[in-house]
Order: sequence, then structure tokens, then C-alpha cells
Amino acid sequence: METITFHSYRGGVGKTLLSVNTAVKLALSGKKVCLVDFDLRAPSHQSLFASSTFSVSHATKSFTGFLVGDHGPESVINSTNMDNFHCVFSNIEILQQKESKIRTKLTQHGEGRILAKLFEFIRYCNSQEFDFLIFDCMPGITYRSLDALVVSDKIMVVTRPVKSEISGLRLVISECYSKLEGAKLFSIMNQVEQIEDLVHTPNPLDVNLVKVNILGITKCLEESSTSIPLLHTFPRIPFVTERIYVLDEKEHPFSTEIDIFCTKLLQ
Amino acid sequence: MSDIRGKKGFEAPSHEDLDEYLAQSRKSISQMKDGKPPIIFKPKRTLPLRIIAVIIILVVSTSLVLGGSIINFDSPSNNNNNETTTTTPMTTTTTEISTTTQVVTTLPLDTETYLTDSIPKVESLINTLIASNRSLINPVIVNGTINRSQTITNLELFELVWILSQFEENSEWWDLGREIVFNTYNLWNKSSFLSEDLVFQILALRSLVAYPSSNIPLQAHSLQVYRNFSKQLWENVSSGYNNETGTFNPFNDSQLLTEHQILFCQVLGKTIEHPIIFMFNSTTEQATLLLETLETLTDSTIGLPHKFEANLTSSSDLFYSHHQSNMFLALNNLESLLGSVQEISMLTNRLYNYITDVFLQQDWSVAFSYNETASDLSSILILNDQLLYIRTNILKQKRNFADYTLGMVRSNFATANSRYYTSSEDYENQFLIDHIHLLLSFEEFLKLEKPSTTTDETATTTDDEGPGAASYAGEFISILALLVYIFYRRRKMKQ
Ligand SMILES: Nc1ncnc2c1ncn2[C@@H]1O[C@H](COP(=O)(O)OP(=O)(O)OP(=O)(O)O)[C@@H](O)[C@H]1O
Ligand SMILES: [Mg+2]
Repeated sequence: METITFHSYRGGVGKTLLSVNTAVKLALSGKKVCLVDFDLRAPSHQSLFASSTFSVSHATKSFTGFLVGDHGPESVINSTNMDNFHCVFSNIEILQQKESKIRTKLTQHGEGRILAKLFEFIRYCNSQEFDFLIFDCMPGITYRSLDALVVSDKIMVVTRPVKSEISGLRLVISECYSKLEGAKLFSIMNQVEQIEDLVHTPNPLDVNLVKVNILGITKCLEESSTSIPLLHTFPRIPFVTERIYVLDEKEHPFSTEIDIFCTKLLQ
Repeated sequence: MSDIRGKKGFEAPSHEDLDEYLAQSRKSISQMKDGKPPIIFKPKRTLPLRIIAVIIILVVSTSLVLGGSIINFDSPSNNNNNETTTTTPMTTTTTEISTTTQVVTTLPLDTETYLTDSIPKVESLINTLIASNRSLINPVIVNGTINRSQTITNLELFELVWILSQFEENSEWWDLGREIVFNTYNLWNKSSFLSEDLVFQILALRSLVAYPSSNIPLQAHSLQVYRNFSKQLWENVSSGYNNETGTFNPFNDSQLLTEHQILFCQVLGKTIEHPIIFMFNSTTEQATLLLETLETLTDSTIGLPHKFEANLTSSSDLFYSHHQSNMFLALNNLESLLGSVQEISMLTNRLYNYITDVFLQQDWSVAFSYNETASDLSSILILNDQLLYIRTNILKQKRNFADYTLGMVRSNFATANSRYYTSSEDYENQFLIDHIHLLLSFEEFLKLEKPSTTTDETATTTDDEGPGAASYAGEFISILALLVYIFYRRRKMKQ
């Protein structure tokens, strides 16, 4: 089994969209996949799945509940109408309600207990013969994102070519990625502006800025002390929202991109 | 979501802590891989805020003593005695401060002004939809203009009365609803209702009992007719209620619907005000049973109402946020009947958390756009859902959520005549009801207690965490001010 975490320094770069679509695509291509909403701070998968043609079987508990020891790993995995696709949701209820000790454990250092839980989960998934376990992680360097990073086999570093991203990326490489032994790092550049089909002529300054930013990110990745090869560049596609395109709209340009990405991933 | 630190308390390690955490994590993992138990690694002790606070206070008191002695020495008549005494209570409060801080949200302050301005506009719009004899039309919007020809249906009247009855007692709007029932439309003696289906009947009954028995404007004979009619409706409606399972299944369907339980809940909530119509004791029993059903109808972890097969096995995951909100409000009704019951508060909390969760997860402007047919979340904005969410928050005293949602509702108004543009054809015939509901939310909002400081709300909602960041900051600043003052005084003295 391969554990893959989608991570980024900044929020809103597209981790959720990419990880969900990748996971479903891998399942469509015959792999047994478990997708985990590990953005405990702002979980979103449940509503995303609710809006898809997917039907998720009920009755399972939240991942957050598993992490704090409320229930076992088997009871947090949702099965779906696709035999080989399973998903795990989080909710913020525990954060809002549980006594502050548990909340502290979940949100702060955690003394390695949350990490142990995560490991237990991976071990369980392994026993269930999943091919892929995919974590959609919260952005930034928090204790919880570190947990996900250290237990992963592969890390997809998602970036977006905007100016503020470059310095952030440099920081997160030196502070964090470079210290992860054992995990294979890959990068994804997402939401790259496309010049074609524009209704207005963009200001050359903006066009240039985009180029500079792409270069900046590329340079930053190349100069990194650890190798973070760029696996794929996703264009910014207008009107892409939070959906499972690979399932609901197979012909969508975003689905096509995911197809290519998954082929690379499987190589 | 780009901020790294502080959001919902997820902590980022410092530079050194990160290295240590990674090292320990790796060790722990390799140990677990060998089948050994995980390592429990304690965080490196950082100087807790508490100790820092104590140190500050020590510094303050020493400087006060020192400063005081100098000042005293130079000018015995100064008032530094007061300063020394003020630090005493400060010492006790500051040392109790927990190490957790919270994000303080500032509230847009113009909501009141906006609402006070808008209420008359919305009211006058509603008035144009109501003929002077207080008979109603149900406008339909065609190409942006209001078509006034539609006559209002009984079902729409029932909905309208229910909302109107929730306005402040004896207000104009409250009164309008009462007149609809007992005067203009004489809903109280329409025996034809008795041959309609049970959902229709429960809606009729809900309108009839919406106003307390002491406020029924009928003479003795008519009053008797009204009571008998209501009793008959209640009897019919009760036939759809199963005493053993506590479920209301008006069509004896294979599926139980959340809406129906909510309706039953709403009627039960009104029973205390009508002891003659309802046999009071039996309704309390029914309410208790129904409560269990409601609990079963909600997912135990997420608070989501399900559709259920009549034997209570969940069958579909279809949901709308207005179910949650409506259920929340209905439970509040039930509470008035049963008193504060732990199950109710548990359920309301769960529901509330769920809808808030939904609300926070989404781009807020489309937070309530769940819809059966659309394949994504962003297609339809449902005013009704938003209004219900506002009212839920008002009940919960969550002012800033109510405020924010109001802001969204507000952006859907045409500024010229303050009317809401219904975004979907399906909802166009809701025009009048929507506006009255809107007015109700506005008025309810204005009744919300104004926060005395911006921290009020966050501090009270999570009070197990100790005082909010701002109250700490306040104390910190006063200490700092004192220090600066003393420093200044001492310098002045030395000159
Ligand atoms: N290639 C793309 N083209 C156009 N829009 C995109 C693309 N990728 C992502 N988006 C949009 O950007 C928004 C943010 O994406 P998403 O929620 O997946 O980011 P995230 O990294 O998971 O954010 P967060 O850190 O807040 O969890 C979404 O509305 C998504 O639809
Ligand atoms: Mg995300």
C-alpha cells in the first residue's frame, strides 16, 4: 500500500480538489483506494461527496473521533457505490465540544498519541489491502500536518504560482520537507494561468508577473536541498468548483488533466 | 485559510520544536513498525503564559515598591497608594489565565443601522402586497415585475400565519396573522379541511393553535366551534401518530420524513397554550416519544436529519440545511413543553454544530445552497435557509454568524425598493412569505443583545478555555500602562 499526502504551505491552492479527483480516478482505474479528509481544521469532503452522484453509505463515524479514541478504524471508513473506493470524513464537532484536554491533544503537540493513531489507521488500511491511502492535509506546518507528512510514502507538494507562494515554499522546504527522511517528494503546480481563450487582453505586466512567478517556483524547487521533482502542471480552468469531475464529468478538461496526472503517478 | 497559526487552535511548532518532533516521530514510527508501543513524547517545556504573567506582576510590584518609595520620598502627598491597591486584584486574575488564546472577530457595526433603515422599506413592500382590507395576494414575479393576480392558497396561508404568529405579541404583523385565521379568511371553521390529507390538516391545526387561547378573538359560541374544530383536527392528525414508536407518519408511507416530525413537534410545542383542545398529559407523553424519534432521525455524530424507512432504517442521505434549522427551532418549541431536557440540548447542539460546520466549510456565500437536483453546491441560493440560519443563531445568541448571514441576505436586495430577488422560479411564489420571514429575522436580530465588547461572544461560547484573548490583552495593557507610567514618573523624578 502506498500512502500519499497532499500538502501545501498556503491554503486554497487546490489540495482538496486534486486529492479527491486523484483518489477517485485511481479507483476508477481499478485500484483499491481510501481517501481521508485530514483537514481537521476545515473539513470539506463530506459536503463535496454529498454534491456528487456518488452515494456514500451511511453510518460511519468521523475520523476526528477515531483520532481521539472514540471509535475504531473500521467504523470511520465509508464504503461507496464504487466497490474499491472508500472515504473517511472529518468534522469539527469534537473540536467544538470535547473537553479542552482532548481538544488540546488534537490541536497541539499531542505527545505522539495522534501520530500513533494515524499509524494505527495506516496499518489497518494495509490489512484491508488498499492500494492507495490518500490524505488531504490541512495547509501549513502544524503538528497535525507533520504527522501526516512523516507517515507518508509520497508527498504531493501543491503550489500555485503567486508571488507570496515563493517565499513560503522556500521556507517550508528548508523548515520541513528537507527534514523528512524516507518520504518521496513530488510537486504539483496548480492553477497556472492560461493565455488562450481570454475575453480580454491581459495587461502585459500581469502576463509577465505570472511568468516570473512560475519561474520563481520552478527555481525554488530546483534549488531545493531535497529533490522535489515537478510531477504535473495543472492549468487554471475557469469555473472549476469543488466537484468530482473524474466521475461526474469525464470529458471535462480538469478530468483530462487528472488522467494524465494519475498516469504519471502510477509509473 | 492561508494563516498558519492560531486558526481553530491548531498549533504550529517553533523551529526547534519541529526538529525534535520530527525526530521523535520517526523514532516512534520505527518502534511501532517493530510491533512495540508508540513513544509518548512530552513537548519541550516552554515558559507558560501563567509564569510569564507572574513574572510581569513581580516586576510590576517591585517597580511599584521601588518607584513608590522614591516617589514617596520625594513627594509624600502623591496618590500612588491607589496604584498599589489596584495591582492586588490584578494579580489574582492574571495568574488564572490559561495558555490558550482565541481569535477575536470584530463585528460589522452597521447592521443595526441597516436593519432600522430596511425594516420600513420591507414593511411597505409587504403592505403593497396586502390589500387595504387585509386580504392577501400572492404575487408571482414575471420578468422582474410583480404580478398581483394570484390568489393565495390555503397552504400558503398556513405558512404565513405560522410566521406572523412569531412576531412580537400585539404587533401589527402578529395581529395580521391572527386576523387571517379568525377574520379575513376564517380558517377556524372551514370544516372542508377535515377531508384533506393529514399533512394539510396538521398545517391547518398549526395555524389554529399558533395564537394562545387567551388571544383568540371569538365570542362564546364561535369559540366553541373553533375548539371543536381544532379538537377534530387534532384527533385526525393523531391517527397518523404511532404511540409505540413515537413517529408521525401521515401517509402511512414506507418512509418517515423529517419535515413531518418537525410539524408534529411544532404543534406539540403549542399544546400548553391550548389545554382545552389538547389533552395535556397525553401530549407530554407524545412529546417525549417524539423526542426519541427525532433523536433517531438524526445521525448520532453529525446531527443530520435522515429520511428513514418506517421501521427506522436509514435509507437516503438527502438533506437540506433548512431541515436542520427547522428542527432546531422546533426543538426549542418542544423545550417549552417539556422543560429543559438533556436530550434536547444535546440534539440542538449537534444540529447547530452541524449547520455551522456546513456554513463554515463552504464559501459562505453559497453555504446554504444544497439542493436535490443541482450537482454542485453553488447553484441556488436559498433565502429561506439563510433566514432560518439567522434565526437559529439568534436563538443561540451567536451574533456574528447571524450578522454575517444577514449580510449575505442583504446583498440579494435590490436597493431601490428593498425587495429580494428570488433566484429560482420554484421559489417565486414564496415571495410574500419570504418577505415576512425576512422581516421577522430583521426584528429578531434587533432584539439580540448588543455585545458590550467585541469579545463577549467568543468568550462566552468557549468559556471552558478561560477568558478570551482580548480580556487578557486588556489586563496586559493595563499592566504595561502602569509600567510605562511608573517609568515615566521615575524619570521625571530623577530629572
Ligand atoms: N486548476 C484549477 N483551476 C481552477 N480552479 C481551481 C483549480 N484548482 C483548484 N481550484 C479552485 O480553487 C479553490 C480552492 O481549492 P481547494 O479547496 O481544493 O484548495 P485547498 O488547497 O484544499 O484549500 P484549503 O487549504 O483551504 O483546504 C476551489 O474553489 C477549487 O475549485
Ligand atoms: Mg482543502
